[in-house]
Amino acid sequence: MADDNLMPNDDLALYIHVPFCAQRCNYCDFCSSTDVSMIEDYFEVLITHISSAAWLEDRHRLRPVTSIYFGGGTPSLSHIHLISVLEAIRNTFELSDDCEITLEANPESFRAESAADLAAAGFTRVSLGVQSLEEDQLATLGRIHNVDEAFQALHVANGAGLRVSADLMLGLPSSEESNIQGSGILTEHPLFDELLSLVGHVSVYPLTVEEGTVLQKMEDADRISLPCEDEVAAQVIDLEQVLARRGFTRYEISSYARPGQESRQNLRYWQGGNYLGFGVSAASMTTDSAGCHRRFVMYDDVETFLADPKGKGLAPAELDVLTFAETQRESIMLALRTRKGVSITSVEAAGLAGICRELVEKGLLEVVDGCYRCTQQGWLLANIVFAAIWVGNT
Amino acid sequence: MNDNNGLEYIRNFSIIAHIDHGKSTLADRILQSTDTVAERDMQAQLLDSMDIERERGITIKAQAVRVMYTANDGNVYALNFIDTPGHVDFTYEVSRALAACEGVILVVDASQGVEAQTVANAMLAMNANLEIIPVINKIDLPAADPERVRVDIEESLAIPAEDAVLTSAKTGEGIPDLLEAIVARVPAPTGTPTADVPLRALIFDSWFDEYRGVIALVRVMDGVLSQGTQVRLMANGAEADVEEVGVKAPHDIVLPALGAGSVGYLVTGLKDPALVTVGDTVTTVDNPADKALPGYREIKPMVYAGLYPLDGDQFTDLRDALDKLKLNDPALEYAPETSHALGFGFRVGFLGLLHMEVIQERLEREFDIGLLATAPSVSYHVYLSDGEILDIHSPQDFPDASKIDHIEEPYLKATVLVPPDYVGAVMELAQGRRAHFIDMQYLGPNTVEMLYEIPLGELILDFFDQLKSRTKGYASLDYEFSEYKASELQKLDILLAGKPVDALSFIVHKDKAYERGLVLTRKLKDIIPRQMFEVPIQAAVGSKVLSRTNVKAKRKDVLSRCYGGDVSRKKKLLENQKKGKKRMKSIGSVDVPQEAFMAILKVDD
Repeated sequence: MADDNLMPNDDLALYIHVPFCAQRCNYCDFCSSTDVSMIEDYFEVLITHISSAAWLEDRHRLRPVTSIYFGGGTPSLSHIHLISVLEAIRNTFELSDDCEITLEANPESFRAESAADLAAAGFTRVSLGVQSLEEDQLATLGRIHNVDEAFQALHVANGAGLRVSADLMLGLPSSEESNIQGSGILTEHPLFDELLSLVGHVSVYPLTVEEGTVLQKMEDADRISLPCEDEVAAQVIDLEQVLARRGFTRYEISSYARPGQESRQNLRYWQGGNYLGFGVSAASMTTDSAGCHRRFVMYDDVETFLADPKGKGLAPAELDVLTFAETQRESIMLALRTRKGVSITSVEAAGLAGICRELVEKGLLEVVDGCYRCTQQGWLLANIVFAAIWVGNT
Repeated sequence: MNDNNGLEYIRNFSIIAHIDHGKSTLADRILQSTDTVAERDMQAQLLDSMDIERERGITIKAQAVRVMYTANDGNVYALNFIDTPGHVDFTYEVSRALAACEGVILVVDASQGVEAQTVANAMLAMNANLEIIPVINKIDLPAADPERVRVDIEESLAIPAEDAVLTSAKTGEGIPDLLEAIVARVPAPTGTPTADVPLRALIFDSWFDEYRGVIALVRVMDGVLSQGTQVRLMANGAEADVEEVGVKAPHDIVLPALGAGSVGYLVTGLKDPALVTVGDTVTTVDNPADKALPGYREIKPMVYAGLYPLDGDQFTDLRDALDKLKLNDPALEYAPETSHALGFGFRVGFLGLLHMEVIQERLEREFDIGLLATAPSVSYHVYLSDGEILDIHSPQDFPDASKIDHIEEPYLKATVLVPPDYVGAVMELAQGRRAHFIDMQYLGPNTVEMLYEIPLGELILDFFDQLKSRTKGYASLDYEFSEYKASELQKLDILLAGKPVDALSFIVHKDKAYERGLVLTRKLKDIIPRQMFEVPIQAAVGSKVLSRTNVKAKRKDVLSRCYGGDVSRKKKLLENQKKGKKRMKSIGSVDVPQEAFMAILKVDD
């Protein structure tokens, strides 16, 4: 789709999933396993897939890779393997000179020695799962690190010369026995400024209690109490304002960055850029010659993944082939997660001008520089905006 | 086969009981022990052919089936038996079935004893002069006390019970005794099964078959109903050829003719349900009867509710579906209704709340029509100052209060049977529901019969559930229409975002208006989801606001973390949300879920 805000797609991004954790967090419903005995096999298969998976078309191999993201799970569990995977990627793909290479890391497993190795291997960025500055909240979330370890990791990352992002959560629970320092509001925490001085990027998610998680059981048993909708909304607004004063721009619904510190990979997801996912439950998105999006996940559990060591291209576990009209709607919906938004021209081409004008009237969208974008209210009520665009709900 | 002669080898009977006393299981057992249904074709509640009946364990429609039974006297008897519903809403189905019989099996649960519908159904049978065979069922239960129940039957119903048959439909015990009792005690039908006598056959049920048109269940009283003859329906004069007659066993067995005393089905090819009405008499065109058989007591709906298609385009589908259901449900009444809030729909009259639920469920399942139902109300007589009298079925049709002289509402005579320990609890509930106490008497040491006059409008407000919960499930209830009486009633309006929503209005006694308004606004506050803006909810009588509350504006609605670019899953969430939203109705700009319209019914929690 011709749009300045959408990717031209002559390049490519890669996503590598590492589904292992030392311990599952209480809120987590992602694909992850604590059975670390499979790590060796997993990476062996992963490397084979990257080099020679049958579904990996030649045309993809010819495009420069401009960003790579190692997510999980806990990729930082075994940095040696990450380096081998990166090497396999270099042998298969052409990496651009400024390629952004990020790994997700948990503070307790991000040590100085491994950080230096990773930086030397070409990693440029680390996203650290800090989540909270309150010990009690970390414990409730089932995190195995403490606040002190989080700061050590932040220093290690800076020391290794990596760009640093911190993952934080809002709307966190309190429990009866909890012992919150100060007001309990993240931005008023005594360590908040120190945290900001160590990062160029922050990702913030309001906690969602997912089905089947430990946290849901805790909530059902009334062991924790979650802040109400209004409180969480107030926390989001407060954080945005405080971060703006500290020089962080909310460039995407849940991401804030100092100038030049935006995550290329993150923007790519929302701006229609292609990416290939390797590993279990890794999502890919490609565009066919007619401009239609095609989304797929090849393997949805570790067993199926390991059962296809050569990457012979079984039927994908999930496949979503979009029509051109769906592609247009999806692209607009996703672009509305970004601060730039989407051009009026694209909206008109997709026949969504009426819906977008309605959303403007409701105060959820605004027009800036020839583009529709979400207002602060629109980002808080993003589901309404997305549903309006994707399924025509208003 | 002795279908057309030998009346002495035919027995026509019904099974009647209070709901849950084991009627349908007993019917299953009779089918099995007479080899009517092969073991491999057997399924529980065989005669309850509707999904809803099996799932809920209730019988809604009467069903007839013929069983061939070789009795101990060596003769083969044709036993025509008709399964009937046990719930009070469907009393009329029972009376229809009884007109086709000479005897009834009165099933009483060996641990529960006589209950309200046992009494009501036994009365129907006695009034129809039918032979009653008491059966004490579920004797396999640990709590079974057949001797006590025997005494209970004699004391409560004044029916001799010394030779009651003891059965366990579950284990099959006593079934041979029951079959023998039917042959020995139910009188053989009378009538002359010859073609020279004018035909009179009573239609006691009918339904619509897509391929064959209307199918009627008939009991032939006189003469012979033969295939190929031309028949006339005496009430409306419609004429048709008999395409097929036969018996249900339970699959169709085609016969050349059905003689007097027989029960069977009739296919005429008539396609218009309105022509084949239950209670009508079938005769022949060539040799017509002078006089039709006595019909049934007319059935009138007791409660009315609005039914609106969620998708406005399905209005005609809804009308067609109601037409089809009306075919074998003469109690169903409907007329088009328009609501500002809900669009085009129907005001539908039902026998009671269970009937309403069943119809609603059948419309959704069998016809695939998503429905929104408004809270049921009753039919009011509104006397205007100018002398005009209006029969109002819907609160939204109420005239302006200034034009009303007075209003009458329907009262019921309600009978509650309850153990003595719970008399106080029943009295307390009845008082809160404007009921007038009439009488109370001990039917036995463990059963008190309490008689009340209660406004129907109060009874439909969750009364039965409350009665059950306050008596730990022991109370049973039966009721019949009593009379219309003047009451000080008002129309209570509900306003959402300042605008009255006609479909949420209801009629309430003046002394209850404030309390009900308060309860309802609070309930609606919990039911109506947060919207993009604050939604005030008000309850008002005329221009006077009785209570007010607010649904706060939605502050946050974001999808959880979109991980690793897995967009497809998030889109599915959005699509599922949309499906959820379909169950809501947009009124003005407020999304109102279905439960909101029924919230009025729950006044006591």
